[in-house]
Formats: sequence, C-alpha cells, structure tokens
Amino acid sequence: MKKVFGVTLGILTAMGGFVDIGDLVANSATGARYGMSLAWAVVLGVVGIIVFAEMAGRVASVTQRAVFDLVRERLGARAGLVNLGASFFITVLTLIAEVAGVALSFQLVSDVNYLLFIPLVGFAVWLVIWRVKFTTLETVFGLMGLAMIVTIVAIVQLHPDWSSLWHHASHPSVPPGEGRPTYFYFAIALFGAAMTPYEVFFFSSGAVEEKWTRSDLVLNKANVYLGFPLGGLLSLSLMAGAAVVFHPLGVGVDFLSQVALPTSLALGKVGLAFVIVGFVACTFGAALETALSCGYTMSQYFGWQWGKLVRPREAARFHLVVVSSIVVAIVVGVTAIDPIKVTEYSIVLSAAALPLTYFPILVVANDANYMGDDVNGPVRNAIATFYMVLLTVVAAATIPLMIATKAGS
Amino acid sequence: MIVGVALLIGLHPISPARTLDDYEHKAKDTAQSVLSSIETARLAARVGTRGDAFGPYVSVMLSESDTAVTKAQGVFDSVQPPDRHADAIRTRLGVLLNRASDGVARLRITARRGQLDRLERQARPLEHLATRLQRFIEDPGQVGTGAA
Repeated sequence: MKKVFGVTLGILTAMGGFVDIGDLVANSATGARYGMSLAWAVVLGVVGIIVFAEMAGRVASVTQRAVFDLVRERLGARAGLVNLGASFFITVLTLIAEVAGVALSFQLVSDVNYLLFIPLVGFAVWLVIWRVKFTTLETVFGLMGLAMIVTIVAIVQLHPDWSSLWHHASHPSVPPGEGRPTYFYFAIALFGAAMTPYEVFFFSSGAVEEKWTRSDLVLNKANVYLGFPLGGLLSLSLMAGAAVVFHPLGVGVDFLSQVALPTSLALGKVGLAFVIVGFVACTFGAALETALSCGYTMSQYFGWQWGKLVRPREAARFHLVVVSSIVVAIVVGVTAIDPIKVTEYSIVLSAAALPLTYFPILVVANDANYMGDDVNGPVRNAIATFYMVLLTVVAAATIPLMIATKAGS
Repeated sequence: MIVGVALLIGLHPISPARTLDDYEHKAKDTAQSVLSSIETARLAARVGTRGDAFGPYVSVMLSESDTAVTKAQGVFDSVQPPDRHADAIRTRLGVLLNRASDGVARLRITARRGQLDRLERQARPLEHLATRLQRFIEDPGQVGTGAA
C-alpha cells in the first residue's frame, strides 16, 4: 500500500504540471482552434518530460541533490543566477495564475466574483504548506486530481467520430485560414506547458524531501511512467473535448468555465461536479508546487536550509521566500489581471528558458563520479540529446514567434 | 527585454486601421469573436435548461460571454473607419453587435434570476444572429444590401 501511495508524487506533479490553469485553457483553446492537429506537441512534451523527470528523480535519489543545487554547480554562479532569475520569475507568474485559477474554480460553483476568493486561497496555500505533511498533501491532491479522469469518460459519452479525431491527430496540418507562425506558436505553448521547469524542481526536491535512495529508483520510474502519461492523456482528452464541441461551431476558449462545458454536455451535473473538483485539485496542487518551487530554487541556489521536513525555524529563509511569493501572487491576483493570459505568458516564456534547466540534469546524469552505475544508457542519451537540440530551437524561436503572431492572437 | 516584449504584446494596443482592407480584417476578427461568445451562450442556455449544469455555473458562463461581447464591441467602436466603405461596414456590423449584446445580456439576466428553464427558448434568436455573423465573416465587404 505504501508503494501505491508512493506513486502519488508523480501523479501530483503531473496533475499540477500538465493540468494546471494554463494547460486547462491552452489544451481546450488549441482543440477548439485546431482540432486535434496539435496533439503531436502534447505527445512530444510528454516524452520529453518523462525523459528529464526520470533523470532528475534518479539524480536526486542517488545523490540526494535537487535540480537547482546542480544548476549552480554545473552552470557556475553567474549563469546559475541568470537561470535563477528567469526560473523564479516564471514560477511566480505561474503561482499568480494558479491561485487565481483556484479562485475561478470556486466562482464556478458560487457565482461570487473570483477576486474575493484570491486572498482566502492564498492563505489556504500557505496554511497547507505550513501545517500539512509533504506526503499527506501529495496524496490528497494527487488523488483528488484523478477526478479529471471524468474528461476521458465525457469524450466517450460524446460519441465522437474517432476516425476523424485520429486522422487529424496523425496527419497534422495547418488548417485553412490559419497562419503557420500562429500554429507553431501554439505548438510551443503546448510543448512549454508540458515541460515547465517547475515540474522538475518540484519532482526532484520532493524526492529529496521523501528521502529517496537508490532503492527507490523503481518508485521513481513508476511515478514518471504512470504520472506523466496520465497528465498527457488528460491534456489530450481536454483537447479532444474542445475539438468535438467547440471546433465545428468556431468557438474560441478564453475562460475556465468553457473548459468544463464538454463534460457538462456529456455527463450532466455529476460530470460537472467531478470536473470542478478536478479543477480545484489541479490548480491548488499546482499552487502548492509553484509556491514550494519558489522556495526550493532560491534556497538551493544560495545553499540555504530548505524543505518541509526541516523545522521552520531552521529553514526560515526558505519559508520566507515561499510566504513572500504567495503574498506577491495575492497582491497581483487581486488587481484583476487576466489569470489565463498570465499563465499563457508563463508557459511560453518558460519555453525560452528550458535548455538552462535541463542541460545540467543531462550532464550530471552522465557523470559516473556522482551516479556510479546509474548513469544514462546510450538510448536515453540519444533521446535526451535530441530533446536538447529541440529545446534550443524552441527557446530561440519563442520570442520571434511571440512578436510575429502577437502572442497567438 | 523578454519580459518587456511580452508586456508590450500582452497590452494589446489597438492599432489604427489605415486602409479599407485593414478595417475589414478588424471587423472580421470582431465578428468571429462575438460569434464565439454567442455560440458559447447558446450552449450554456442548453445545459441550463436541460438540467445538465448548476445555476451558478450557467450564470458565470453567460456573464463571461456578455463581458466578451461588450469588450469586442467596445474595441471595434474605437477603431476609426478610414473611408465611406468602412462606414458602411461599421454600420452593418454595429447592428449585429448590438443585437448580440442585447441577446446575451438577456440570457445573463434570466440566469441570474434562476429561471434556467427559459434560457433555451430565449436563446433561439441567437441562432439566426449567428448565421448572419457567419455570413458577415465570409464577406464583410458586402454592404448596402440591407442585410443588417
């Protein structure tokens, strides 16, 4: 039973990483606009995050060192600081969006303006981080997030033309009337969303928090090979729901409420209730991940004591960073800034910073001095090298595409 | 620099329409956006009346559709038409946008009053409006036919 619950770290990471507020909207928006013709970008992202999260978890299990610890050592203090600045900014942006996302989910069941919920959600995030054990929070939110499986049931219930969905997914093309740059901008958004850096910050730090060792490498694989594909499958089901319901009508997805509509149409109130519980779990889980990741990255770079297993008095600077990040999220969130736009920008901007995060992991995973017999094999290295080239191309193309397409508008 | 670029793009400054072609393009985008909101409102009305969704959820969705229509209308109104042909396009689309705004607002009010059973019937005129918006999107330059 312990092993079963051990997999919840991967499920929570995948729920927060793949199915956070930005992904909920980005996958639905892409499905509504392009049908299934961008499904390949999700698959590409899922394989990429599996490869690198497995490496990060393995490195953490063998060396007891998390990602940002290695970033500073391998990139040096200056390049590491630039990476810290970019990663921290992007993670705080994501935290702002996640806190607002939880508030938006509450709005869906109460019709009370989401801005009123933001301070309460921020406080709840802090309280959970402060009071709840790491294993408890990953189990509760990881398992609650499984409510999102209802979106897969909804697709079946909508009785789509499966051959048409498969044809669009397997023969990707730019639809008539759509520009190629915009198509690739959305592809980068989906890819960036799947490979968001905070996922590996959280996953590797979580492995250290749970005191994983070499004997937990099987658990690491189980987390990665179960959790992330599940997150990817949910992303694809959201895309398919929007492709079936919205694409034929020419509806664009701009609001969280629309994301739940295919499930509501297919399964009624029960389905809607499940999907909203899933929204809360995923966005709250992502808020916890991002708030903790703010503390993890900063503390690991500066060599401070960090983690939930350490008494708060001994990790005061870690907790100060976490609390400050939550306060910033609340203050920015209540300005009524569009949370969906904030997340879209955070995932696209994170695409520009991806190589800086993943390169040090690849280097250390090949260092026999650290890893002993658990270094990367040739197949894994070949795949990882392909992804490093891809990440570099994506990073270089992100900003020009953002300018050329006016952020996909 | 990257953040600056993102902020600049994110603010979505409304660029002027210097040519008829440019104005037509903006009119088409506006019609597309409003059509999307109308279709969302129709789906919301459907799940509301058939008991497939909770009242607050339907109300939120209709409020968001209403806000989106109003915003699109406001942005389009602020664009200066460059010539007389553009004036005609503005008039034709303006009528459709006003009807869309009224129709979606009526649905929002009904949902807020908890009368979900009436929504689907009230949404029926939006179907015709959606067809006309679709026609406008296909040919925004078709003016003076009294179609609006």
